[in-house]
Amino acid sequence: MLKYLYSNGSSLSAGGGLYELGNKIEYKKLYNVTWENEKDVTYPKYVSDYFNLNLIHDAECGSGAPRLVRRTYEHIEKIGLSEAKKTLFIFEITDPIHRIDMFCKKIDDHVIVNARYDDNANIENLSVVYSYSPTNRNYSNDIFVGEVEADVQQYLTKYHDPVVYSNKFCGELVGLFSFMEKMGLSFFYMFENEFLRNPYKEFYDDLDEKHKIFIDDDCTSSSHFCLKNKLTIKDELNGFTGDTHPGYFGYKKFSEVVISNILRRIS
Amino acid sequence: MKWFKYDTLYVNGSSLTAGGGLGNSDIKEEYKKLYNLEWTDEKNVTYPKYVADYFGLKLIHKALCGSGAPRLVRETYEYIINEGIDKAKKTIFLLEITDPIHRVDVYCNQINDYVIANVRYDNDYSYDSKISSIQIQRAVTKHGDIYESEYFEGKISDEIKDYLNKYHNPVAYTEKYYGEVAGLLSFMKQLDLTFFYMFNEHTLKNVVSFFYNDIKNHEIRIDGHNCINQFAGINKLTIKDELNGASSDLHPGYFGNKQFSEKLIPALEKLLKPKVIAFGDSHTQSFLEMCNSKMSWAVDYVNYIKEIPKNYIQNISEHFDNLEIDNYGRGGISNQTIFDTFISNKHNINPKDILIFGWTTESRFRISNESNSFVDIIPFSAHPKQNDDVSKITTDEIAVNKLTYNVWWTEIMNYIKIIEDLFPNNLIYHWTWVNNKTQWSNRLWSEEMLNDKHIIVVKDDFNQYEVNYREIILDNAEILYDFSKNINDYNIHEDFKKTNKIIIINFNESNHQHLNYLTKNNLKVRYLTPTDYKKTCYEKFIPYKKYNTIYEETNGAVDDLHTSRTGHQELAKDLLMYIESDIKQGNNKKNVKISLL
Repeated sequence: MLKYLYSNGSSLSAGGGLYELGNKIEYKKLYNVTWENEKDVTYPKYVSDYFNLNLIHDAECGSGAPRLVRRTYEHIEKIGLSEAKKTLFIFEITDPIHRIDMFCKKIDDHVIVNARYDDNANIENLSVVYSYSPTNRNYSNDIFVGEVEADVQQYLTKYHDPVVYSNKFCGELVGLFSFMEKMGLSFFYMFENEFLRNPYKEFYDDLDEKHKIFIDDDCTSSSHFCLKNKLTIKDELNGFTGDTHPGYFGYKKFSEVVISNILRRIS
Repeated sequence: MKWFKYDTLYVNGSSLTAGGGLGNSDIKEEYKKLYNLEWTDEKNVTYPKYVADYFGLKLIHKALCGSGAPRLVRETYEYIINEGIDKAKKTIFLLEITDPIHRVDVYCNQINDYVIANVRYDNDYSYDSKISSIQIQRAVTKHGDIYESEYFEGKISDEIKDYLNKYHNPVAYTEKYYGEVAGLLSFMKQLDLTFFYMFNEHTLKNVVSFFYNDIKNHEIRIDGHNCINQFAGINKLTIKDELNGASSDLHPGYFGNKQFSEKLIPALEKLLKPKVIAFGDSHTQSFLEMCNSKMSWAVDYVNYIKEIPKNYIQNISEHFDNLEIDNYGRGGISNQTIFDTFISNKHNINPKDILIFGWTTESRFRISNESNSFVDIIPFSAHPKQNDDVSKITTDEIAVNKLTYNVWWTEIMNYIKIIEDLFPNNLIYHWTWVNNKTQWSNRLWSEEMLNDKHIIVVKDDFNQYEVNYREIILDNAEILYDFSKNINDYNIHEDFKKTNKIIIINFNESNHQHLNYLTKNNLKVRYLTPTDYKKTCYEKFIPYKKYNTIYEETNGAVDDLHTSRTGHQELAKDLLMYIESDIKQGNNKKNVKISLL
């Protein structure tokens, strides 16, 4: 009997953009919908409500596969195997290339480092945050501006290769899924793109039947689904913002896809 | 070792496996002085080298001084990806796992590869601890470039130390690898790779002990020691011990590595060596057991040839240096009991084991006796009846039905499917002594069909049917319609006034009007299919061959049709041809392909 839903992923699951005050005001104005915590209007919340499960919403804007792998193991270790067996895990997986998981002694916790590279693989810009969302933030991101960002940028320039870093997580991700499969845990996943799947294509082909969230032929994630169905924040707010994250109605509609995938596999 | 299917030994671990200390010139000089022993590369005197040599394997010795779980996890994934699953399946992985706390895996752009940063903290167990010292180990890049430890001293080690002091926590770093190591081992298990692990410390195991309890049969423990350093320490086989204190180095010594390998090799051999597990009837049960249970034909035969011959299972075992045998063959049992025996004993089967099923005649089946237990019926024989409520005539009639209709072979096909689904990674072979010729019933009509005016419809292309079966169909038809031909004028209701034996062939080739005719006229239909289930089932077996019988071998002196000593030798030879070919190919049934883009 399932009791919990554990969700991990990026801004596409965390309600990216829906924490922006301007967007919230515009939604109120256009649709008379309001929320305090943007995670309350994302698909994991609707899915957990539908199945009457306690939600552990661990998705974060800027997060990628490295944080997802680490946090999922931590969560299983924390709650133990018997509780993990009562948990439905939903993963939305994005590439590690711009999403580095790093420990920062200044806060004695991990931070999300988002790096953008130019054509020569040099870091063009970089941000270090605990959380992009003002709602779910324990530390002000200002504390990372300056020294921390400079340290991290300098270090990454000399001791980090984005391609090597990304390749490392192809293995770590199949390790996580193999572990969960071996332990008999219930999990579903969706990939934003094929990069992490490709080296282990046939491994995933085997796993997909049980664990992949099938959306449609063109879409593999909430982002694709909302772009295709014109349900991004930008679409829903009629161009008020350029933000193409899933919108309020996009998440609602997308949750129906996730729910039907789960219903089909779990009776 | 003909049963051995591996060609490579992949080893990863720390200095305990890499020959730590044995590369130091002063230590080497002391070994030369005391024992007249010399070596150039210290890896050549480590236990992995002895293991690889014993089994005749190519050694990929990736253990390095200072290395820990992070590098081990990363490099093992890399090996599997780069070599591909076929190669990985022919590899034995030996992993000596040490805690990550002092062993940080760092990428260094200056050499375009990873380096090992060995760090010491003022307090290992505190989030606030500072690095008291750092050493970057000698690195050999994937392109073969060598960077001595001194290369990294100064700027690089200072930068890494500064970074680690601010952005690295030894406890958090260690915690990350609780899951990562379990993940790697799960993945290897999922791919059914052959791997063994040793943990130097228990830190990484304890948190996910539920997982390690599940994969205990992959753990190497020698004399109860969980790692070579314990073994060498307790047995006074460290470098320090062997050099009588001339060095304080506590790494396993030359003899420590040798003695460890001498214990490890038989342990590995036991873990790797397959068993032959056999299921079947009297053609599979050993002659010795048959004689012990006083089976007259077996006693007569043994008396005649003046020896207890080996059966095919024993011949196969002997060919592979006497593999252990679990033979569940039992005379007189039915296929249902053969399958039941498999189900009852499947927990004894490991993926390395070779499974052989000798299926018996389809005419045998089971009923319950008065004690509510199954008994196998051998029909048409002088056996007493097995339950007073079931007459001999009844069991004989059931047996006739089973012999007459080859649909019964689907039972064995389903058993085979279950066996192969349950054991997707084992070498599994099926055979039978039962003649492969299919018999077809001459009679297609039952009284009920004739009384109720059924018609027989052959849906498929009539030419697909075996010649014999086609003839039987034609013989059973008093009126035959071939719907592949252009027939316009027929009235089956009128035909029924003349005969009740009407057969339509090539029904699927008929036009829409014909198809509707049966429904519109409310005709009762029995369909025939062309499938020869027996033939289909035999495709799952090794090609059928009639093996030499006791009657033939003794020129009729022993009147029995069981497989003879010569027949068992022939059968073993045939099975060995398939087994050896599969071993050579690595039995890559799962065939998961992976490659790094």
